[in-house]
Amino acid sequence: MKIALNLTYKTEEELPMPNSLFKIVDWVEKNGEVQSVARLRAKLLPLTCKEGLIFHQIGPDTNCSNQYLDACRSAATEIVGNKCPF
Amino acid sequence: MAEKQTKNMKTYSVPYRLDFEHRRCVVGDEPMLFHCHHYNTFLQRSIEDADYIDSQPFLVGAAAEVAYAQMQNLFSAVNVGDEKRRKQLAGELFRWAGFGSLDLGTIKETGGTVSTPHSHYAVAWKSKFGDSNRPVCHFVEGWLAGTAAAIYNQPFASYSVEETSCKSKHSDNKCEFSIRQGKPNWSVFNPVGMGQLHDHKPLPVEKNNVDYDGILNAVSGMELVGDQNGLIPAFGVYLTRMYANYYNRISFEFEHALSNKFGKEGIDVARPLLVEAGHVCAFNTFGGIMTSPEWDALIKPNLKSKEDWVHGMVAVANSLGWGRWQAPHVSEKETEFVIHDDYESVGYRAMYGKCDHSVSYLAEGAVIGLMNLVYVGKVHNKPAFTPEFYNDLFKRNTYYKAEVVSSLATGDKVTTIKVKKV
Repeated sequence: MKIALNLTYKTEEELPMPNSLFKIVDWVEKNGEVQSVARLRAKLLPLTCKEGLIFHQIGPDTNCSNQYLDACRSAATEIVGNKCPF
Repeated sequence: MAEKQTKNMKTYSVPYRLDFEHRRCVVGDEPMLFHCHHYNTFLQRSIEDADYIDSQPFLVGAAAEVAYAQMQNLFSAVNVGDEKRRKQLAGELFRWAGFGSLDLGTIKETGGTVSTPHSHYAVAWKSKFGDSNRPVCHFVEGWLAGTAAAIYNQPFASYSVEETSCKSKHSDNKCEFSIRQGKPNWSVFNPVGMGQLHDHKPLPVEKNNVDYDGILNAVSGMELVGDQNGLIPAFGVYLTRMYANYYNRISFEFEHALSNKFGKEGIDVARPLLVEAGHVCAFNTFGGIMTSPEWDALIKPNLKSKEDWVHGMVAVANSLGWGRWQAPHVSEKETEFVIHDDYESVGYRAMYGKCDHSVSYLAEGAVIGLMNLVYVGKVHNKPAFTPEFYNDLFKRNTYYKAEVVSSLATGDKVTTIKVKKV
């Protein structure tokens, strides 16, 4: 019997940097208006739950999926009004 | 209870009633209160930010709820049975309240199209956030649906409404609404009117130099009504005499939608945004009032200390329709605010019954904002109320913190908020 293995590998470039998420949240806090992080948290709520993250505990060591990171980056850009550099 | 008709106004004949005992302004048995365009738009944007909940039906339905109840009561109270006069009175109320201008003459029982170059929400949105990429006048949509049903003696949920163009968008130079008789495209809520009000037992307040009653009478008598465009530019903001139950319904439906989907995390996400709307309100409206010529003429001459400034603004808050506000103890370190029949708690209990947590979000944000303005922002120096100043004052969020000590929404007699310096 043959077993087909479908292994996919992520290159280093595809994997999010460990502290990218934290950098984005920190950037929003520093560059956004009052309670911008609360807006970010509200916008990402369904994805945050799906990801199993506790938003207010996001720190430098918090990892997440690429999908979550993309969504976070996109929401950050919208909230701050400038392109998120992270 | 004092009653007053607006007989002295040249352009308005809106029969409103001032209930001084409960600090309410009532039109057609619906409590109406002052809020500025910053609050209105910030609150709506916070709700719409959560685009995974279907908020438009309740943003529209909340307005239909209050408009239908109010117009039915109003038409009956002033004995207006004629369609033309009903439209005239409704349009006048819309303009008086600062919602904009609407000519309802173009709608028939089967529906029609109404357009206006002056809608508060569109003007406000553009002023605060710039161009929108979608229509923003959900309040007007609902108001039209409810009002049309009342004008034509139809059951409550008899019309659907769509805003087909909105001046908040770059491409549109007016707001246009298409009204159709038929199934509503919004959430249907039961109107709650005034809710359960209580006999107020005012607490003793520390000695101060503020004439609370004099300020209440003077500010309540000011003609803060819509101009020829139906807007109320005053104190550096656009004011509205909005329906208390509109704010209540959209805030609590927002919170419920999030908590239904995400449990406590949903409430934790909604709360800071609703409180922040109160900050925004305090900064802009309180700030605008405390640096206005009216403040300088009426209130400032008696103020001898920063504590008096707090008392002065609390006295003004009593005329905004938010309930009876008191500040029994005021100091830079800690101030206690007591609110009798705060409109958020009264509305919550009328709509949903007792709550397991405080829902006085506006009040919480407003009292922190007031303390920040007086003791940190040095409002007596008349600072410019810029976004930079706002960020500087509130972003650090390290000056004052609020603690809700008691809440009418949870079953206490009054809502008490202590604001402490961190």
